[in-house]
Amino acid sequence: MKPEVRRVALVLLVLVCGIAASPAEDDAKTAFIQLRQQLDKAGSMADRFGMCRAFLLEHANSPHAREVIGMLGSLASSDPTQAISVLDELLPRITDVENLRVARISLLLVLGRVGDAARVESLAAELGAGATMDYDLATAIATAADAAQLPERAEKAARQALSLLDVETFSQRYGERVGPIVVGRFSAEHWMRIARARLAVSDPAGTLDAVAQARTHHPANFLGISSHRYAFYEGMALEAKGDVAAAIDAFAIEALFDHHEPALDRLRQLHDRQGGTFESFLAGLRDRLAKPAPDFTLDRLVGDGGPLTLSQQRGTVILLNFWSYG
Amino acid sequence: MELPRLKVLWEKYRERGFDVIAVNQLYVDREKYLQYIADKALPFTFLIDTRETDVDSGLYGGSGHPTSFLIGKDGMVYFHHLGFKEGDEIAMEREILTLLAR
Repeated sequence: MKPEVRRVALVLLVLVCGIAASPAEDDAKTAFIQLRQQLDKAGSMADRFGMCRAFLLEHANSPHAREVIGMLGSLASSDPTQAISVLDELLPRITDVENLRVARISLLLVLGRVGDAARVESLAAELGAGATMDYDLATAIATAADAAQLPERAEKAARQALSLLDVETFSQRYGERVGPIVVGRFSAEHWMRIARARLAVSDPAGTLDAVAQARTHHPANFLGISSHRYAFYEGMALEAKGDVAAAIDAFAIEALFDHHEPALDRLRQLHDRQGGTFESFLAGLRDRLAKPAPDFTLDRLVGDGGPLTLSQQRGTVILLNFWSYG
Repeated sequence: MELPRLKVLWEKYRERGFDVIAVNQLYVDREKYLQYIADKALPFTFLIDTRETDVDSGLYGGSGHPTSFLIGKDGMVYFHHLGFKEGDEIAMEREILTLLAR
């Protein structure tokens, strides 16, 4: 073929593809809008799965499929098995690189949630072997492996994710003010995955070190409470080390100030070895672990009387409530 | 919303030395908050937090809304509730009684 002829052929090919691609994409868009409307009206969970499945099998490589895979991820919280079967059916039909990645990450997370260690391990190994390891992928592997109790895989991925977390990227993604906060929280989450992994391989010292790292990135409140459950995992490590007194205090923080059932269970176990009723044991712990309310002075929203200073309210029992409208 | 429910506790125990201090940042306009407080006839001490004073998310850790801390007469925090669900007011009443008794 002469070069000019080849060029014309190439241009024609591109044109044909362009023309062919856009109606397909229009179809996908129309179907996507319909799907959203149908999902709003859908009664049963089975209907919702059915609608997402039908869309995905038809438009597996459309950019809209990524959003639908995300919707499937939310449906997975009520029926993970169903979500896994839809994703398994979908995966062989995907050729688009980005869709493939999104679907595999989604599958990985659901497999982690149901604790399918064997499949998490093989899928994580497959994804990890790919050339493009980035923060989101490392985080998905760490999350799934943590949930499926695969300590080695979880720790490795969490460390990888930590090395890929940078304030600059996240400040671009979430804004200058929120970026550093998000990075702090994510760092703490990864350190806690490492802490759980260390605990699972019977390394209490390593657990305590990892929790200490997490604490530096996202501090607990003045009572020692944090959504990362620092005190609970410290309690587990301290108990494993045989430091029962310190473990009791750590569990008590979670149990007494955040109604954390697993911590309360540990306290019941540890209390059996001591005297007195469980109630009086808890009351004693509460008195010892109570913390001074941080003092402040704030203006009133309603009425006169000038600003109020908390420490000047001594002698009154106060329910201090942080609220927002609606 | 938990504040109307706390009103029952406030009415029951204020004579014995109990108060509710409700703190918020004005995330929506001030009038809306005042309207809500007036509509529900909420009798509490209402305070305004700001990004500068930062009591909620800074000093108290900002674990979310609503969050309650129960403070004894000695100024110590003995109980903490994150969120508010059915039945919490029963636990809170027990806790208030414990703290009033000492």
